Amino acid sequence: MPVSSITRTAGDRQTPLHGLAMRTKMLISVIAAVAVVVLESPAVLLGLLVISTAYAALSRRYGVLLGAYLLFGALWLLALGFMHVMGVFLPRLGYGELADVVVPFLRSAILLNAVLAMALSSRIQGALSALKSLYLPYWLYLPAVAMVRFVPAFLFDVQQVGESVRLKGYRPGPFLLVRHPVASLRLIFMPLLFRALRTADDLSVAAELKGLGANTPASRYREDRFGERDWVFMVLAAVAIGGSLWLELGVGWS
Amino acid sequence: MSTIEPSATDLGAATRERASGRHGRYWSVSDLVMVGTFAALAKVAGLLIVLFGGGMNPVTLMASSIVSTALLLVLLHKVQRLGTLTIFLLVSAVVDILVLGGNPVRIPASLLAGVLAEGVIWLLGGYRRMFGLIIGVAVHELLARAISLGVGALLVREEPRLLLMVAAVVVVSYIGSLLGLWLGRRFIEELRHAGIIHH
Repeated sequence: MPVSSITRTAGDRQTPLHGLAMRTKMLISVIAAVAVVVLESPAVLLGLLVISTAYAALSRRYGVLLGAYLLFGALWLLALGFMHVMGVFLPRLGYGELADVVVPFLRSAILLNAVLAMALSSRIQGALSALKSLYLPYWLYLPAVAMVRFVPAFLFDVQQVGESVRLKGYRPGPFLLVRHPVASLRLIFMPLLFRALRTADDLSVAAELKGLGANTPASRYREDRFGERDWVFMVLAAVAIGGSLWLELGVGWS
Repeated sequence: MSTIEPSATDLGAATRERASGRHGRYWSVSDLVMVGTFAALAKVAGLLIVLFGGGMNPVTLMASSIVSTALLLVLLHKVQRLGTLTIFLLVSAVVDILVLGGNPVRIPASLLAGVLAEGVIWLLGGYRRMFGLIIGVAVHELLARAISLGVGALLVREEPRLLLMVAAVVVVSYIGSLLGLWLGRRFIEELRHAGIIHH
């Protein structure tokens, strides 16, 4: 019988990225993170950026991707603006070569694409399956699962505490934190902390009742298995990264 | 949400007792769940503060640092076991990568900062001494930021001046962390007053 917490609704996306094992996506992110630290050539990094953008676009979350790129661009413009202001007051700290600014931008954009592809194509249940499939030790797996499972309970607590603050005549929001910081501590943070501790106890009870920590292996409803598609993506990622390294270190592209 | 009688909720003592038995493990289930809960609490509370505080600005960044550091201090005081900080950091990094799309480079950085801070706590008398905990957390917050800045410096090595803005943000958030240590002590006093923390 299927576990009730595992659901597959009609609205679930089934893109090529959703079909990949979480481990594959993690591995691609790690390889990309290491490769961009080594690479320095703008041309090679630009090529990798195009490939990584295509990879992220496979998630088909174009709106979210566009929003993330706009935010990323705004943050970079902010950094450049900050440099410009510094340059006005301290000319020594002004702009240097354009390529020197472009290369860090390309590195960060490639990393952003790799992590967006993973984040936008993963469900919570997928993350839990991945945690199991990574064969993490008990002391790492259990808190990670508790962390994921705690969030819905915490959001419910936030709602309840918000209502209690309203009942006491305050309007919950950023202004309450600024205008009444001590009252905010008493009315918002302490109740949330108390409830979080109680929720942690509930989750402990649930974990104990499920036999976790009893030195018995857990059975798995859904395995995070490697399939043909995973191997294809791994080979493509290896070709892209290996090719980039060869172009820069072997051929000498700059 | 909570349906357990208050008298039955001191699982820490019960499972810790079992864990310390002949076949027990170093970590009890309740301790590990507590670590996971606080990791989630720190992350979600930080995100909510930034969200409701009008985005990434110095005030929300500082407030977010204050709360997350305070929660970390409470956790370390509640689960008084060597390795708690390291597990907290590892779990946060793993879930960050899987769910929030965090940078995988953070894992070794978190591990290094955590292990060094645990060393400081151990040298200053262990988890049972509040002074050692406060210094340990302060050291961890500093190291974590320094390592993150170091990784950032690697990525923007052609134009290190790009790091200036990031460095300013990091300084602001570290000031928040130092204030969070004071708040954490207040939280612990409140929890002790309420009978939730007994030591």
